[in-house]
Amino acid sequence: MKKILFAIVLLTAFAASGQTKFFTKKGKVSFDATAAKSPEQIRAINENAISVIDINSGAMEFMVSMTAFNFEKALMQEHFNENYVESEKYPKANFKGTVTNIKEVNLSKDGVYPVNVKGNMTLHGVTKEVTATGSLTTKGGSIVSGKSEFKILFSDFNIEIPKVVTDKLANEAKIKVDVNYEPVAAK
Amino acid sequence: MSRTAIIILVVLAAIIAGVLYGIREFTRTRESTSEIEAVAAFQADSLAIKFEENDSMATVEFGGKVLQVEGVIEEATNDNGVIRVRLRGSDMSGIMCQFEPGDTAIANKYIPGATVCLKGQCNAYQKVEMLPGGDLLLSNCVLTEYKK
Repeated sequence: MKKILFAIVLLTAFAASGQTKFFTKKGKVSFDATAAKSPEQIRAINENAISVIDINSGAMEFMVSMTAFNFEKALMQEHFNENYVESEKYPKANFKGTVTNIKEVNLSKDGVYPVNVKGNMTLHGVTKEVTATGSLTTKGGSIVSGKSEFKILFSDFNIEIPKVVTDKLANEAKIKVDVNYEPVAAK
Repeated sequence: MSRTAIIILVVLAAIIAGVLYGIREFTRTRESTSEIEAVAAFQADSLAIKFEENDSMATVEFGGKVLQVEGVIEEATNDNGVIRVRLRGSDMSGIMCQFEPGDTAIANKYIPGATVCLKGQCNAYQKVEMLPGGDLLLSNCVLTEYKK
């Protein structure tokens, strides 16, 4: 009987510890770099971002494949990969950081919690500290989704914008992150 | 016809050809993967191991190229029309395949346990430090053979 009880306690502890991490492999990360007077939209979406968040420590990670950004036009996508982000040389972008106010996220109370995120973003081989605001949504004792919008300057990541396209392409990109999380223990 | 007229005609033809080429390039959409020949064919487990062992080298070799992969479906999902199938790879890695839009009609075929052969554009080996293992991402996949 004692052994069974011990096993139950052990399994419960295991399950509980597994529930501290939430992840997705289907995160949406989109960007819009359309210049103010551009006649066409310069935007793309990647629906295969990986992300994980640890509710205990607030640690958070994102990773995207650069070639998995889809543009409306093939030519734009080719220019993006070959001329700007050089996907062959730098195939991935990632973010490693922390939700600095993770203690304010209460898993036992369903809701949408505003969060602050700080960490290092690596893009085009350059790592730079970024901060962003966003929200985490909790439901039924889990983090079910996360959203954020922030801007990055291309020059911060050594991405050169030729003068000939500055009327179409802005010098910064508005990044939008929209992910639905599931507990790691469920996998 | 005078020499000047011929020159004008040739220049005009060149301009028109250039404009047409420009319009075609500007409005070109991505070519379907079904129209592209795969550069290599793999079993899902051997492809997963190749990226697991040295993803930088494997990405240089296959990144952006179309690969054919055969494997057993571990998980199949339809998220508002976005069809994804994860093929069983090694103990630590799998092959995540996102299908071309509009492939929802055959989504019901993607049943866990079934063996399929598909083609897709090779992206990067996706992993994060906070989780063990990772997945090679293939995008714009098309089914080439449904085995069982």
